[in-house]
Amino acid sequence: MELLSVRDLNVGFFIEEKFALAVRDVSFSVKKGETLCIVGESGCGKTVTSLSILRLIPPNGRIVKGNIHFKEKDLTRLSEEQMRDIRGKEISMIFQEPLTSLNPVFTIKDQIAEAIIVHENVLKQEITDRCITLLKEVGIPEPEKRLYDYPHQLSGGQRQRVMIAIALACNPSLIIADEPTTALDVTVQAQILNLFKELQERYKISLLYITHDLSVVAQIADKVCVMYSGIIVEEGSVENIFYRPAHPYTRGLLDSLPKRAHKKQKLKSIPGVVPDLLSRPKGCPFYPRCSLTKQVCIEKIPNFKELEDGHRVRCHILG
Amino acid sequence: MNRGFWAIFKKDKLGMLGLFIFILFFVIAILGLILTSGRHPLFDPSMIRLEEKLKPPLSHANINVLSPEQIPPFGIYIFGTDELGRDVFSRMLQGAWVSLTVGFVAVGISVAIGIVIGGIAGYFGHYYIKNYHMLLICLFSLGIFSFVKRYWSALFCTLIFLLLLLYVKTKSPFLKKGIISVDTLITGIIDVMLCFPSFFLILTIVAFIPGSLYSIMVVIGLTSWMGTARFVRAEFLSLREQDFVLAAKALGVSEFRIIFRHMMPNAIAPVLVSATLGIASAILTEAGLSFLGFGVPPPHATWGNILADGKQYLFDAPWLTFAPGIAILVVVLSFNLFGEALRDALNPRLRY
Amino acid sequence: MFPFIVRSIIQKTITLFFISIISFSVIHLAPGEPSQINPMNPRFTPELIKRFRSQFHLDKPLYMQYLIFYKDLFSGKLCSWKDGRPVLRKIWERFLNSLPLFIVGTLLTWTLSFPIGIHSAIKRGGVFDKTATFFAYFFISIPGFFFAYVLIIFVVNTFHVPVIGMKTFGFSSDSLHMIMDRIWHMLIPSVLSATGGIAILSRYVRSQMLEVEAQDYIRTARAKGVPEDEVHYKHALRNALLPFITMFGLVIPGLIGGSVIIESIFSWPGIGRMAYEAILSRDYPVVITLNFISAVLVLIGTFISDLLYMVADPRIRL
Repeated sequence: MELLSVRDLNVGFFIEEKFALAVRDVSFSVKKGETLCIVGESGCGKTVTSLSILRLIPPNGRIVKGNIHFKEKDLTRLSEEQMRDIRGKEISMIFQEPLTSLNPVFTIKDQIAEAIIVHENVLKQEITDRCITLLKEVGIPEPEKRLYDYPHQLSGGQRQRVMIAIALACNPSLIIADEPTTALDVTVQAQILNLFKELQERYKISLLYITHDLSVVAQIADKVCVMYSGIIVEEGSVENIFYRPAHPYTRGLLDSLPKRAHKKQKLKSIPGVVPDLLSRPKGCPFYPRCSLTKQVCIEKIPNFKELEDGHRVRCHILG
Repeated sequence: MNRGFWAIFKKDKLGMLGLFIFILFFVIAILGLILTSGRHPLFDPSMIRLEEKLKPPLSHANINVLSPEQIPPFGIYIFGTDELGRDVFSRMLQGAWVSLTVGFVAVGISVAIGIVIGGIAGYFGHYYIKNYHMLLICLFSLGIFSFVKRYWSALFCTLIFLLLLLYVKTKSPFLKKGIISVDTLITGIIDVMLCFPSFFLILTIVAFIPGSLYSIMVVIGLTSWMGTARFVRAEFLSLREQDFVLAAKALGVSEFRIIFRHMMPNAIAPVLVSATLGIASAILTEAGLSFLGFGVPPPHATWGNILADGKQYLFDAPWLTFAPGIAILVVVLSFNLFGEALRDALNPRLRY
Repeated sequence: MFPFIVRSIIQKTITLFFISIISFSVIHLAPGEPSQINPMNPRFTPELIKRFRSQFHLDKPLYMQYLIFYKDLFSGKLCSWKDGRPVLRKIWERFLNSLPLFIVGTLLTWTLSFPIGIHSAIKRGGVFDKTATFFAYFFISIPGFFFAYVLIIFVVNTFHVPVIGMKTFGFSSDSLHMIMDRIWHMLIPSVLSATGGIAILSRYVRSQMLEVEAQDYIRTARAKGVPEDEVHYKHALRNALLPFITMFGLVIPGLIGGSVIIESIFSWPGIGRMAYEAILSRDYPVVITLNFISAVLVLIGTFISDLLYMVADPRIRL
């Protein structure tokens, strides 16, 4: 049973009076209790994809094509009113910057309680109790005291925990986490990742996890989508991606990871940079950086090839 | 300023309009200076024709009653005449130069003071003013004082000697004790200056010193540098910590060069914006002063005093109010539009 | 909080000391002595000047003059040179005349500029925003005295009513009509003094709102499913309003500062006009006192705004 399925999503932006597609023909799906990771360098369109699921893209952006099915509903066709009932209740989102994502003038309690009040009719006392439970759940010590703190009184990791508490407030069935650990220290990052895993086991929540960090993917993902320059170049289970990578870009990413086995070996890197949104090549977006480029790569974008169960890749040459 | 700046600026239609009027005003003011000065100017702003009082705009001069040199160019009064029969157009031309110079010179003075003081506070702010500095200043001012008063001029020479002595012998711990940091001192001075309501202060000073174009410029300049100083300081404080400045220091680049080659270009953009807006407000201030009768002394025409002279004839000769009023409005508006467009084009955060 | 208040008061006292020196010395920048340049009085004979000098302590050294001046000022003994009445009493009378203008003008400014600025920011680039922007630029750029005359011409030509002064000269009727007459005379000057303020403040509110609306926590609020109105008026506005609390303290100095031109055009016997007259007749005690008082008001204003800011912004706990 698929909880969320995105089909042929195309999202574009008006930049200096030109329209450019940031996300092209993106399709993926998330099952109940499953974790899907979207991996890619910055600027590849992964954040835009996640924001367009909740229809929170900035005012100069448009979803031009495609649909997003969530529990039998097409999110692209809902009214703004109906969309608000989804946000925070059915799907919650956690952002990259815990330092700026909480409103500095409201207490922690205000901000958690708001998520509940917007969607449910509950008594005042009950709200306080639920806020305390939520804070306990996300591992904040002395929740009764912390409740009346302002965001600036908490550390970055604690603020991200509060963000997670807000996301959990209405028992959503899907949480979208957009690089939630990128801004945090490595030790805090590991704690937060463990928290995600625990919560997911306990509540069977689906997770759409967006990151650029393959080591995070290895820890948390069931399925992986690799994005490059607005398209998904490879998609498959975490084993497929890590042990049998098919796309040259995925291979490049894995090769650039430091491995414990060969200490002396020089780290590999992918030559070149991600193309600019307004000056993308016509064909396969990866060809300028690819070592296997042939004429066909320059001419058109490759279609998906099915390799094995659920493992698909967009490449003319490999696969 | 790169090409990206121009590309953004060009799209701002109001900003371009502002720039266009700004250039036009510049040209008119310079032409105005040329055409209205000299012994026999083409447009004579002080030619009195009592027979031709309060003629409405675009009316023809009565050639029969005027002597040849009294006839205005083309035989018409483009903006009419005032209560003494002077050609308002000529007077407006003369006034344009006043507004232009007041705006630019006053802002030039205030920006120069602001950059120097703000730069010192931002770059050298962490230094302490020590007791011997204070002593030197006291001795120095005492010396100046005695020199001015003449009868103590002998003391002056002694003081110079003392100064030199002190300069060599600043080893005592008391004299080297810091009192106040440069930054605290300068922000304190800025705070004190900001406490005075600027127009009232300017009015007071201008009223008590002999009125002339230059004193007005200087007074406006001396009382409006605080804003520039404040954000040059803030900019320098943050720039000083940035890596490229540290890198330059690590390479052994001299402090002078760091300030003027590495930091100043980064701090200059917001200064430019505030200078443009400052010109607008300086023009308004000068007009206000002239209007109250404290500006450039007559018979020299300024837009403010044309308007002030015209107020008695508000209902009979409204052009005496409207011509300078609209001129000030348009010029100030153009500077404001230009300045705001500049700000938008220079501030990358607003682009999206 | 308490240490902050103490530190702030000490700082402000030091500033006050320098303010008193500057206020006092501004006048003495003028070439010659105050007694030599009374252009209003041709009958000034040498003996008179001498008596004048000793009467107003002008024969003493400068620092003594300074001390005597502020001693007299604080004990209320300081008198105007023009009519010999106590300066503080004079200022108080004129202040009462200015007060209604100030209150109406301030109320207009603050009640109008916030809705205008907020609405422009929320509907950025819309018709309302563009119109508001146009008028804001217009009113920022128009010289106050020119705008005053335009309004006078307009009002007199369309309604045929007098607008100068505090009330119609020689007009007496029942009390209701008197009050209406008073209000009518107050309306134009206060609207005039408000327009510039509305233009500047609404632009400032707009840019503040825009800045806040681009913050991450606004996106968080939307992601929680908070209705759009609440996003604007609860989450964004609370943050956008913080800097204006500072400005609220700075309203107080407007009591004296901005009214010189408008009060002289409308012959309004308030503080601004008094300042103008005092400068014209070189009434030094009045001029110095007014400069001093307005600077002190700024000082009090900043102090109040610091306190308000501390109450309003949870991040500041000093």
